[in-house]
Amino acid sequence: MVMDPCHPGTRCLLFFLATSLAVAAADITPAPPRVAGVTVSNGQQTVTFEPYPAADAFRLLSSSNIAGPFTPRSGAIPGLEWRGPTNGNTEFHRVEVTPMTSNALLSSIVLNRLAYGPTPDEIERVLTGPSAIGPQGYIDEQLAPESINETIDFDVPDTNINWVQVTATGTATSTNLYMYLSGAGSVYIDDVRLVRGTNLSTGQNLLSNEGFEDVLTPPWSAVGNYATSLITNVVSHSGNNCLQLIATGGGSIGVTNSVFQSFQHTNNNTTYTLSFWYLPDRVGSNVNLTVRLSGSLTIATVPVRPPTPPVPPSTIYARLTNSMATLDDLRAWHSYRAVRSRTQLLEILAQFWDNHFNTQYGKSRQWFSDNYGALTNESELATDFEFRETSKWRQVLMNPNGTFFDLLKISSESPGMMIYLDSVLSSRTTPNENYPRELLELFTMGSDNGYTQNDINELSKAWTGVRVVKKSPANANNIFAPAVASYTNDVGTFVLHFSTNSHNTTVKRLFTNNVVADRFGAPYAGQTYSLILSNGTGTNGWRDMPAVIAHLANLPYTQEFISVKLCQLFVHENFEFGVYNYTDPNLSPEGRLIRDCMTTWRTAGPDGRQGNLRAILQTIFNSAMFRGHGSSQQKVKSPFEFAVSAVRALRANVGGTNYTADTDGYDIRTPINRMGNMNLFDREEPDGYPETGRLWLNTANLCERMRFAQHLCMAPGSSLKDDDYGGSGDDNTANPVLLLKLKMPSQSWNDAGAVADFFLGLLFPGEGRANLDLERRAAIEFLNSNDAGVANSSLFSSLTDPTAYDGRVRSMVGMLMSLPRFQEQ
Amino acid sequence: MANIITRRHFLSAGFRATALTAFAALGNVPGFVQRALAEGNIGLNGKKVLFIFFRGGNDGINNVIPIEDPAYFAARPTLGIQKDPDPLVLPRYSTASGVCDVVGPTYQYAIPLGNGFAALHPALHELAPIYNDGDVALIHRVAYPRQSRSHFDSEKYWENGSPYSNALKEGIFYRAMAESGLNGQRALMAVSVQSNMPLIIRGEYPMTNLGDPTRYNLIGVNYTSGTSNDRVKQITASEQAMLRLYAEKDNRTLVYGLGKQFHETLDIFQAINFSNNEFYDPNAPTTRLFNVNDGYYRNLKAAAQILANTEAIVAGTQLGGFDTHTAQGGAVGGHANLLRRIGHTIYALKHFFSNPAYNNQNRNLWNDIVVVTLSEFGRTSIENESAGTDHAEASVMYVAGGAVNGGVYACNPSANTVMGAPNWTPADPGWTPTSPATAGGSMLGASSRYLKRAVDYRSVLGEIIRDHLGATQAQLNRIIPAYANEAVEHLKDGVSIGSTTTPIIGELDIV
Repeated sequence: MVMDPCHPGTRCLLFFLATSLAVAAADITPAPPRVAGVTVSNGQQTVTFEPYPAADAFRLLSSSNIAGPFTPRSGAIPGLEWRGPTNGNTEFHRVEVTPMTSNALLSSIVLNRLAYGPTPDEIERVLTGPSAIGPQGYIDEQLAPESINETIDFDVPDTNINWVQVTATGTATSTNLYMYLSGAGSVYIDDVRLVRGTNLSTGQNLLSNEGFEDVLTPPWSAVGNYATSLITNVVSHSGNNCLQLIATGGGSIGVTNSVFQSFQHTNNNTTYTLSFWYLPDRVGSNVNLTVRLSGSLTIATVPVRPPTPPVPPSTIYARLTNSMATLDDLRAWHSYRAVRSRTQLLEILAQFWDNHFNTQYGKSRQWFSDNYGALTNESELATDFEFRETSKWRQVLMNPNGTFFDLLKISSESPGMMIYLDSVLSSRTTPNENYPRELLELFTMGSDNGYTQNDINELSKAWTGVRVVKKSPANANNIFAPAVASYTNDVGTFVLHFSTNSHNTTVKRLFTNNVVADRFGAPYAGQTYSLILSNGTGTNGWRDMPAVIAHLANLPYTQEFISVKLCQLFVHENFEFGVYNYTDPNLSPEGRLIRDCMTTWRTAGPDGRQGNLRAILQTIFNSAMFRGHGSSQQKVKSPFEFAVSAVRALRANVGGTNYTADTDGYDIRTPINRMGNMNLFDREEPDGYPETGRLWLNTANLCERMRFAQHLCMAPGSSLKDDDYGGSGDDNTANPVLLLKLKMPSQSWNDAGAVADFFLGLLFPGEGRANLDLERRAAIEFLNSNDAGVANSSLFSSLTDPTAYDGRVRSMVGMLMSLPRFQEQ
Repeated sequence: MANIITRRHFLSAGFRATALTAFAALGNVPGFVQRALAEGNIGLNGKKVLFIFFRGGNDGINNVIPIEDPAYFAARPTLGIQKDPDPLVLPRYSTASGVCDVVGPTYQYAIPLGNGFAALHPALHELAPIYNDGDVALIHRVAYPRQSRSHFDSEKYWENGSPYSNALKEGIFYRAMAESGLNGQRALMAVSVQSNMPLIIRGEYPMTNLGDPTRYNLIGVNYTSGTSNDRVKQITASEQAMLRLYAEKDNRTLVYGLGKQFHETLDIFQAINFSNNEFYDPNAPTTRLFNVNDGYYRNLKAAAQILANTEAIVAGTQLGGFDTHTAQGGAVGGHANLLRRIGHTIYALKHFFSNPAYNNQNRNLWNDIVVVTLSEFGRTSIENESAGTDHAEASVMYVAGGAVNGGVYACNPSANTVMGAPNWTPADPGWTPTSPATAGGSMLGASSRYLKRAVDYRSVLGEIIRDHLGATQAQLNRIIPAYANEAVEHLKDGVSIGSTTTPIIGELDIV
């Protein structure tokens, strides 16, 4: 049954029954949509029908006889309605749907789940390009990240290709427009526009050769220190060429020492508005660029900074590997890898496992401050704990033999973890249960899933005596070796230490008399899984903790809990642990997939060990639920996923290391904090950031996401871009016009429908053309209207001014990325 | 067949047995049906709550000072707030006049509260006239059993209303909103104005948090003049694009619903105009009530404006800096600066809500508002070697509003009917009540260095949720589960000396 209380033209809240509408998870091709109703008025009928996922086209067929034959009807299908004339008799209707190909659907799924969203180039490489590898090819490639040549940590920085726009309004006292610098240097300038009045897009440009596509002189003149200025095609804002304003020294207003042009000046009371774009080339510090009219009121003077490339990835990586990185560096590295790297699945999994085995930078930092107060690099050391964890996990993920046990072991032996969950405070006399509790509840078995408080108590006794101290390089891997004498003067690293004196050496008994629950079925049900840690004195006491880790790693409860989390990450949010009855012949599709994951888990991997990560992922990626509507667009992006996917969606390679959208990595931090207090590597609560939509979204967080998307689409130099995030966001940049001109044939550049379709295909690849009807119309209307939104007041087909064109396209793309649908994953 | 998913996460452990109908139904059911299933009047009686969380652990002893307690000055040689030696003032500390002295901003001595026992820190002087109007309840010795000394844990317990239970992952006020049955019918129910949404209003369905109220808008992406004048164009376009769901997805209803809610609340918040600061002190008509150069007051004003101008039921914010381990300061200093804000907060809120010109209903709202403050714990009675105080147990809660029964609670020498004795803690546990004059009994629990609980914070919040917001007792039993366990928790009626548990007063009848 469909309840669709919303009709075009009304506004209402959409909280209605959801359960009966979800497409059957395991179906790849659902049945065609049923006709929901027919209304007739004045010889026109409206046939409404049910929604259908990933529909490329709908067609209505009618017959006066229910047995057929049904013939197709022409007529409009705006949305989920067909409208057309009645033919007088009673008619029966059927809806025929052309679904998106399963290949296209799976491509959109893999690029949204195994990657942080598609890029234009990846869509070509996977689906549309001449040698497309197909979605299965992508899955295979991503499951073996070691086979991908990823050089991102050593890449040279991108060249600055971000033109900045400047505008000014005022009056003038004579007929010349002047351009000059305050010192020696060179700056690129393009698209200089001067209009009477205040409306740049509608006023007539009073200048000639404003885009510098023709010879410079006339109408421009270059004199004095500016005589060597020239037209170049090295870069351009629009067209092929721009002006390279070359100064051998400072210039001034006047016809002797500037680049200038005469225009038709009316009188001293006329208001003029000026706009131009510039790109720094070579300038000293403290040099300004001035573009102005005579008189005191139409002047644009901007400080021209030498192009500052972002911190090179190689620099950031060198800091990280030498324990000299701050938390901002680590976050930048993690963020730019998510945006740029080819090994996308590796990035997704690195983020997932870091979140699963949550530790908190701030707590480590406080611990250094409290215990090693004389150190001056506590930020870098605390960051290093986080970096060590993630790089060790990445090594496991790059290994075909990597298992869950390997990841768990790294976490359990991480100094950051032992500090975070207070094991460093735990001793025989005062055992601390924080880590033991979360080990069972959050890291392995899942809350109340096969253990009791008694087991936590026993584990608390086992986790006693572990400490973090500074040891010399020779002793760094010796858990029993003593600390250095002076932590300020002696060389070394902070590593785990086992204090035999503090350890509880009694026997500990875990899961005594437990048997695996019946619901697990064969071969698990009824098995015992107890563990006895015998009394180990001295250095033998250290056996306790690794023995527990090895025991927990492959328990059926652990298999279930971890499989559930992985399926929530890759498929959809509604998997549960602790409830499925795996012996039930009517087990839900979700339960069956978990059972399949567990079967894979217990099957020995290539090296004979259980829990091979790639095999488990293969099981998930091979499932019908993953490969179809069961997963497509069912999830919601976390703030990090949203920000990264927004940059990626517009990021195509222009040549060399230039892309049409980018971030420096550092500028992801503030936006995702605003979107819901997501702070990578520094979360206070041990349960990790949520994987479900409703825990991330409220109206204010949604607002911040929309603002980020709009901000990303803004041209650099726009006052709003600076205002909104200032220095902490202006390195998130995108150039939608450059992107569309790169990928679309030139005859379509002013075709509103084509441009709309191009961006809809990039942003919503899994939706289907027919299902994007409303967005398409909104985008086309947007492109054809002026800034006030008056319909058809400024047709896109005749919008030739590059500045206005740029603004309109950026604005439209920002609007599409602000739609709720772009939150879906 | 579509997945009928057992929405396990809708039902947290404490609720499964008792709340199946009310809570499970609140998941997927249309608004009108939800409301039919709900009880009580939450959100329907026009009553609202403004909460402020003081983060860090507020030293209650120097807020509402037990100045006649024999142990006070001995415990706080540096931090103690002195009595005014003026012979006209000095006797008033021990006289039950019923009126709090009103003093000016430069006053450096404790302010007699007029109950013959307690005094106010001088930095709180601004709330004195509000107190004299009968609109402020100063509730002392508020805590919960076995109070945690950990910031993170204790904050969590204050906000989820269930100490030491990790089963409840939502906040008290969230549950109150869920019980109202209005979810889905109102764009705004509980709103926080701070950097992230506090647990106290967090729950399965999203409430609203404004990190920065002035950012609650689309930016608009126009470039021809570098300013934003296509914002309306953007909003119109995105509203058009959201008119229909083309296919159902797990989260699409939520996401589209929020998108629509955003557009609706955008209008609401635009109408409020958070930049407006034309709210003046009636006693100093050119002085504004809120200093918006200060982030705390900006947020407080926004929370107040939201309650005054929208259908939101609960709003709140937070103030940090109370973790005064070192150099806390006495009459002057860091803690005093914070208390000045508390005093001014209550003063400003009364005058804001009372003025019919300051809200879109054009009436005095003060009787409909209850302001309540929380803090995760109090601090040690005895100061430490760094002239500060450390984490301890009970502290002060401020409850203010036109309908509040003002006064000093649990910080006076008179006998309490439930406890059967003066509000002392004997110097050593033993529960033989002694009077202060004879056996040196002290409220400060000198040997154990901290103020013991006499009131449970859940009794205070419970009373507000039931008697002010209009929950039924049955609803309250679900919102604060300990209420359903009165035999053990004694939140309603308290428990007297003679039982084996710490005596507590129970509900104070403050609203």
